[in-house]
Amino acid sequence: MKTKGFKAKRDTIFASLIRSYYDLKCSSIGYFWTSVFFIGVSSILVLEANLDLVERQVRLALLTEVISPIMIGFFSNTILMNEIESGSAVFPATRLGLPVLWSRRVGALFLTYCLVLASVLTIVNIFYPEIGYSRYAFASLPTCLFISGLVSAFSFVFKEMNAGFLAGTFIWSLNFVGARAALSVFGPQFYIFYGWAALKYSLPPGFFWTNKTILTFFALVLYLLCIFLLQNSEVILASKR
Amino acid sequence: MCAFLGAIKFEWKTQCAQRSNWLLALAFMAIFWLSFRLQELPLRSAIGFSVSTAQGLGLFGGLFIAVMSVQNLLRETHRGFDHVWSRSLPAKNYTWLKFFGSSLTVFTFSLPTLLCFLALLLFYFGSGAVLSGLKVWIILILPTFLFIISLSLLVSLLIRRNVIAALVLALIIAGDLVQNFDVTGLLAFAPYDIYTSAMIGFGPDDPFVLLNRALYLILTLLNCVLSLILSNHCLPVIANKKYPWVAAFRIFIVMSLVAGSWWIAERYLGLSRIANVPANPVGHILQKEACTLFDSYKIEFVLDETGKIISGTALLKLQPVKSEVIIPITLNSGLEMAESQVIVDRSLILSSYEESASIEREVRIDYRGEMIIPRFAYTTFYQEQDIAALGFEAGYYADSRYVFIFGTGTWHPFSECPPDSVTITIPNSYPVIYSSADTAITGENTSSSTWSTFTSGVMLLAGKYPHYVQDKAWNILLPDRLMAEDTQSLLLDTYQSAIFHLANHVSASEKLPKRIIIVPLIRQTYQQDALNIFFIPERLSFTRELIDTGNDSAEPSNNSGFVTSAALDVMTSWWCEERTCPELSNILVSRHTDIGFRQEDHLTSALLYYASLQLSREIDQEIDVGEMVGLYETALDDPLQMVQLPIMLPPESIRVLSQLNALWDRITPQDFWQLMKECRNQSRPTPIQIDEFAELVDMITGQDFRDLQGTPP
Repeated sequence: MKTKGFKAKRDTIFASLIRSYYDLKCSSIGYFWTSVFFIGVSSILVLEANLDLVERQVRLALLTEVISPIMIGFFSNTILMNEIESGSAVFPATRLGLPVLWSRRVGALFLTYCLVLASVLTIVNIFYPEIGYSRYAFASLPTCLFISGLVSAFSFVFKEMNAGFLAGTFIWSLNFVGARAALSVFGPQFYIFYGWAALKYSLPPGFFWTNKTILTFFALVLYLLCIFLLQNSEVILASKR
Repeated sequence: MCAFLGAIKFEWKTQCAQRSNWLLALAFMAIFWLSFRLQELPLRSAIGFSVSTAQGLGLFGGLFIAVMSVQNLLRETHRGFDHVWSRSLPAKNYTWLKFFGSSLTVFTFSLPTLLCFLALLLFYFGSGAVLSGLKVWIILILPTFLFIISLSLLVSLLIRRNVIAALVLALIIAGDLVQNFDVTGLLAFAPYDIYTSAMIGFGPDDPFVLLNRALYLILTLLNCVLSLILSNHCLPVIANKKYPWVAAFRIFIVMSLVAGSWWIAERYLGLSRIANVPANPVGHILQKEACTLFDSYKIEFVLDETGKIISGTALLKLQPVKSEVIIPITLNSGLEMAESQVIVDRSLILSSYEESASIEREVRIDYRGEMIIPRFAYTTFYQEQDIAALGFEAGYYADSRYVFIFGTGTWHPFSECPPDSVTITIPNSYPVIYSSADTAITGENTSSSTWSTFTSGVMLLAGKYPHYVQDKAWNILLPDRLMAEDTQSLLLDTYQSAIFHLANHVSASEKLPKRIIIVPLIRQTYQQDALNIFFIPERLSFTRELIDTGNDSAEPSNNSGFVTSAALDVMTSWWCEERTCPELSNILVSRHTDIGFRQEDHLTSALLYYASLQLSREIDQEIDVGEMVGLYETALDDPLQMVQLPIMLPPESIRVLSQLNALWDRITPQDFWQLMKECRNQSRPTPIQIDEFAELVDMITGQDFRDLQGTPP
């Protein structure tokens, strides 16, 4: 009986993932190909022959901690807003609550991103095993969570996808283009690309874990805010109707 | 046409009605306020403020516009808009509609920021600054924003997926910004604040700014034309009949625009290479050593009507040499020399005595071109000692309004060798403000000045200064809106007091009125005509000390730091009278004698600093010299405290500072200043050393300098 129950659960989870994948594919066109492109470009850029170890690490950190969060942020912004803006969100909303639908899709998005990240890191580690996995994985995921949470929250607050794009670009460019100024304003605890900046500007690595814990906390708060906003799904859907 | 304009108006209204686009106004405003510090605004020139805000908006605003534009440009290509395309809508109309609509929207949402900017200009710099500030914004921001909108249009049409297009644009623009976050880059949005001047605008960087902006406008046109061509294929429009001549015309336009942008980019990069040429201190040192070979060195120099093209002739009489000698020519890279057998790779080759036909040889070097001033020469940043020693290397600046010529400069081939005679001819359209020439002849269109005795300081200054303050004691020539009125008055008052007190102590002549002339580009104050004329740099590295930027009120408060720095600047200019000594002046920029000073200058640095402390005490009674010296003595035991002191002195200088303070208590101020005068006389050509100084102290004051001890910390 126990085995049957486990199998049933396993099948349900598997089916749910498959459904999420299809949801994701329908709502966020191009994510799959962008991920493949990201793996290819990242591998080429990091494995370039004329780099020393530090330059290679900085480049990998740039790709995983700086570039990928804006990519994930933009895609996570569309996974529900696309349907809301085109007025078709009402159909999936009859089947499932919007918070559940959105959470499932975000989960699938991050699961896919974990696979992408793992692929990039594995390719790099095959050639340069000294680079390792954990630092880049833990640098990338909290930042991706934070940016995607921020972008989604802004979109849901303004009920327009564009708002999320603008907010995400604002925070991202402030921290990336104006890295030094942002680092001095936000400090090592709150600067969102600390893993990359620590390597690039030889900053003390001691703040890394504090920084990522704080980012994860803020990301969770933003996600809760998104779920709270989506619970009032009627308002969002009605606004578009 | 009316229908088209109506459609643009409708598109603009639609975009403005979107709540998310309002965030653009907020983003612009946030970036605007982040690009300057309100407390420091009274210290900045109107143009400096305009440039830094324009640069901030140009850098970040472009990203926001790109992301916003993509969504607006692709709105009608989403699902649910099929009915729009069922009509025979021309694709080119749609493309232009989107371009103009987005441009108007961006303009609308930048209006609040623009109003804020103009209000600040009006409040701090007066109504005259509003137009010039607006002009800077139009030159620096408009081409950038138009370019970004056109690029978004092109990328959107190519990709037609809003997320991917926005992502691609964000990465392209951010990557470009990060890679070219330097004025030297081709895609830089604006010159740095340090290269702008209240007097000469972008000055030597004028051609770069114009070329850069022109390039962006051409690229905008190119993007628009490409978008028009692509729109027929990328948009779901009903295809019209295709004419071959239309295609040929489009290809011709595209090729012309590509060629135009290529030409501008090449020209920009060519100029940039010259402007960013690294300093060559070794060449200057080698040339200085070879000056002894010159029996005679004469220069004739002519400036044309526009102030841009100069031509010159250098006539040399050289001693014979036993073996081949190569003398580096330090002529500015923008000037081309006429071909000559003795000049190879910008070096003068002197063959050996046996090979030469005559014992003494004459060489004539003709040169002509446009001076391009290297950027390292006029920044207020810290420089390495050997580069700082070059000072304002070009020694020359001219535009349609001003001409500045210094004795030491690369406007003649051997800048390190003092010429025997110099003749400079300038058009009469430049009224001469100052000239140290021995004779001057004014002709119908030009005037010629001749120098038979060389000065390394200011030779000639001509042009029309916008501000002229005159009273019985002072004549002051100023640019417009150097900084806010209060802080400008404070700066000038401090300098006037420092000059007045110094002249009282060291100058025999009491010639009035004294003159202060603000000069752009230079890093050090020059003093000429026995303390009667001071040429003060427009950009002083220590103006921050004028106000207490730590408090929010931006009120002038404790500015003793500025008083001491200004006194030191005036002291240094007096010490170096009529010659450039950038190695001493560098202390005001680097604030670190270990870096800015040579070992042999340690005594001089202590002397100048102590004298400037005494001078500043006379200006501001609250300054306690003994307390300041005590702080330095404490820093001897605790080097970490040195960081908080105004200037970081090496231990040798601090010991001398203590001894000087002890000496001050034992002698009269008159004796001290007499000692300073004698030290200055003995410091030429090599700096005075401690033994000679002790002898001087003994001779003038009867004190044994070596036995003097500072106050115990």
